[in-house]
Order: sequence, then C-alpha cells, then structure tokens
Amino acid sequence: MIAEQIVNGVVLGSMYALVALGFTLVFGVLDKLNFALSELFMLGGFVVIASVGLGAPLWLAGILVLVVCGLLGLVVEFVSFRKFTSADAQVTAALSSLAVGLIMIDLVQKTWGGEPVSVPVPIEWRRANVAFFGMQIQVMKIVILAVTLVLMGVLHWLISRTAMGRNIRAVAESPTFATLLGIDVKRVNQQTFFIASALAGAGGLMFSLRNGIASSDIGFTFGLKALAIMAIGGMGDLRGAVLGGILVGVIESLAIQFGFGKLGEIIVWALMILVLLARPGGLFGAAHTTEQRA
Amino acid sequence: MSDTPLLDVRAISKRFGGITAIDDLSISLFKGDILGLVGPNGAGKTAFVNCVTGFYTLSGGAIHFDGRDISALPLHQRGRLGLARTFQNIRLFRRMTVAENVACALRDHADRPLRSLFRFGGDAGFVRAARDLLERVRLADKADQLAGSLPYGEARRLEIARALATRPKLLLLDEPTAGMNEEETQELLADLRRNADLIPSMIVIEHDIKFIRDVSTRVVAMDYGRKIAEGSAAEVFAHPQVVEAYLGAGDADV
Repeated sequence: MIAEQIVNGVVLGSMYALVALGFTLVFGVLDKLNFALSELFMLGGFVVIASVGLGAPLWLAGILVLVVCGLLGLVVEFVSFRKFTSADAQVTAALSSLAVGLIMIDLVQKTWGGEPVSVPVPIEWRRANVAFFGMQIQVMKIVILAVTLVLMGVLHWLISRTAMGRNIRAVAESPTFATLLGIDVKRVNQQTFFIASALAGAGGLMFSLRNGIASSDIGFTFGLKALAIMAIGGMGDLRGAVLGGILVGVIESLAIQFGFGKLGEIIVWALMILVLLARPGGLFGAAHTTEQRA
Repeated sequence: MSDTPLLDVRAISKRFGGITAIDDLSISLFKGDILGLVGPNGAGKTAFVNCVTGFYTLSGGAIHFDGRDISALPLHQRGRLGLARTFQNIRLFRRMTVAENVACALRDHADRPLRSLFRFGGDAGFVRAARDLLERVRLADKADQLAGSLPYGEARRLEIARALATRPKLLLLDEPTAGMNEEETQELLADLRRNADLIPSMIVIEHDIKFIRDVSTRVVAMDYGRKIAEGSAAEVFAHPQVVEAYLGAGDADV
C-alpha cells in the first residue's frame, strides 16, 4: 500500500513539477511571477474537452493543449509583462497576470458552467491496470509519468543544448549584458512564456486525464502549491522544481495514506516554511538569490 | 582612414544631480585608431564609455558612430551597430560554460524573426565558431568549464573573446589589466596584437602607462570630466596638466 501511495505521489508530483517548472522558468528569466500559469494549468483540461469535442483524437488533443496554452502564454507576456520592465514593476506585472488568470476562469465558467466537466477518455482506459512488482498500477498513471518524463527531457535538451536555451540562460543571468551582446531579450521572453505556459497546460492535461474531469476552480490551489514547490526547490532552478514537485507529491500522498486526509496539505505548507527557514534560497537555488543581477 | 570619424563624440556632458561626470567632452576616433584614455580615478573615463555604449543617457551633446547619430539609441541597438565593451569588473555569464559565453555573442546574421523564434537546431556552427575564437585567446582547452571557475586573467581573455564575437567595429576596454601582474599584462598585450585583425578600432582605459604607450596610436587625458590633453603618448604624458593631475591624485608612476 505504501509503495502504491509512493507511485501515486510521484504521479501527482510530476504534475506539480510541470507547473512549478513553468513558474520557475519565467521567474528565472524575468524575476517576476506569472500567476496566469495557474489558470493555464486549469485550462489544459478544457482544451482537451474542446478538442475532443471537435473530433480530434486524444493524441492530437494533447498536442493542441501545448500549442493553445503556449500561444495564450504569449498573450499573457504581451498584456501583463511587456510594459513592466523595471525591477519595481514586479508587483504590477504579477497582479496583471493574476487578473488575466481570473478572466480565464470566468470565460471557462461562461462556456462550460461552474461544475466539473468530464473528460472524454474511454472508461476502459482509466480502468486498465498492469501488475508491477505485485502492485496494480493504472496504465493511465504510467502514461502520465512517461509523457511528463519526455516533456522534462525535451525541456532539458532545449535549455542546455540549443541556441534558444543558451539565450534563455544568458538573459536569466543578466538581461543587461545579454542585451549588450545583441541577444533579443523580447524574443527570449516570448520563448520562455510559450514554454512555461505549454508546460502548465500539459500539467493540466495530465491532471484531467488522471481524474477524468476538468474543473474551473482547481487552478488556484494547485498553482499555489506549485509556487511553494518553486520556493522549496529554489527560485529559478529547474532541477529544484522537478525534485521539489515529486517530494511534495509523495509527502502529500503518504499523508493521505496515514489518515491525515486533507490535512496532508498542511504538511506542504509547513515543509515550505521549514525549508525556507533553513535555506532561504531553497534546496538548490541559493546561488540565484545571492548573486547580484544587473 | 576616411574623412568622417568612426566615432564622433560632440561636446557631450553627463550630470548626476549636481555632480558633473563629463563636461563638454569632444573626442573623435577614426577607423584603425587605438585610443588610450587616461586620467586619475574619478576623471570620467568609465562614464565616457558608459555614454558611448548607451549605459548612460547624455545630459547634453551628441554621439555619432559610423556616420549615424546614436545619442538616443538603446543599448542593444548600439551593440548591433558594432560597439562592444568589456568591464572594469569582469562580467561573464558565470553559470554558463566558456564556449557558451562566446556562442551567446555570435549573432545569426540572417536574423529572421519568425524562423528564429524557435530555432531548435543549427547549433553546431555556433559552437565551432566559438571554439575558433577561444583558440585565438588560448582558452580552447577550457571550453567546457564553467565561466565562473576561471581565474582572473583567463576570465578577462574570455570577456574579450566574447566582445570580439559580436564582430565589433569599435572595442572599448575598461581597465583590462586591472588586477593583473606584469606577466599577465604582457600576455594580454600579445593577445590583443595577435587578434588585431578582429579589432578594427579600440579605446583602452588604463592606469598602466606602459601598457598605454605600447598599445595606443593616440592618447587622450581626462580630468574632472574634461579633456586636458591629446596627442601621442609621449606628448600627453609630458603635458604639464597631465603630470599635475596624476601627481595631484597621488599617483606618481608617470
């Protein structure tokens, strides 16, 4: 049972990690919080519903989630972040992105109503199990883990091995000096927002596949946890977001297993407070917060 | 050498509140010139570089570069026109490798916005070009190290290689030998000479008089934000006002 809960925790944690990766990417590059990512996560499930409703097969719906959420991310960048370039505009930009997120909730509720909507995944899919070291694991969970791993692998490759990723890292270290060397910081910002938003949407896709429903009110809490995970892992640190996500997912699942029920969430917040007290820069990100940015 | 200067600084001034960092300063520089800029601490040398490269907006006057008024252009556009600089405190992307630091500065000259919005591949050419530049500053064997791990002298050479990667028409070096010993200084001089083909024109700020004598074709001395002397190194360092400025500042190695 404990092993099964750990698997559940890793599955949950990988979804947290996708959204936390989005937050930490944007924060790493702009030093700003993009709250709209919470609602792009929420929107992921609804893009699946809409795509399948229009006759798209599930694999295509998955790709559409990445594209649609990514493009919406470009809109968020333009509306909420483009104008606010000075360091003291952090709050303004964050609030503006929060407002964009709230509009997304409203639009979803106008279209689909306030109640959870079921995601059209064949029930046999969700019921299918495989035996794994004596455990019965839903195939769906394995698919979710596999897709998440692939996405993280692609992200790692993009960031560490391509010219685009190199420019993203350069801007993350110093927008001024990146600019000076002729790097187009605006384009780097757009690329970052697209990737971060697509990842958040993918997280929402996984969440809706696992639960079989999409709901307009899940973004806020889930997004807050992803933010906590970003802080735990270290602001701007990709590895920290992944490991922090899985850590929190597993702890939450085990808490439920041991009868803490919904109180399990308290553990997440307590963990964040404790980690930050002990290591204000997070588990991996000390360097980022102490290094001076110019 | 053509009639129009590559860099034409026309009576610029820069004030911060009540403090005047640069006062009615005019300097012109032609293609091929290597201008040594000297003066005591606080004379406005770095402020001058900041004005030319766009870190500061001018309080007055105008700067023309390559036949074009750049006074109001933002930082990155000046970079693209062919201005590159290094900093008194070396600025590198410390969490990136040595090769990546150079590759960052290599521009895709095609620069088509839509195609390069998501340019996934095509990185091999950048890496090769970066290695060629590293070869030129004797850093090829350090290509895969983190830039933050380089010792001082090598970090300075990397900073210069990165500036050269932008293919500058004018390179501005702000105290390149600060903190270097005699041997490192000589090496840097040799590096600059060896790569002269990539450095069409240069402005060098230095306290090391010998370095200035060795490298520059022309010298400008500044004090209190003004130009106090201009000419060959021999002329400038013999100029009474320059001698006085240096002695007055307690810097007696003239």
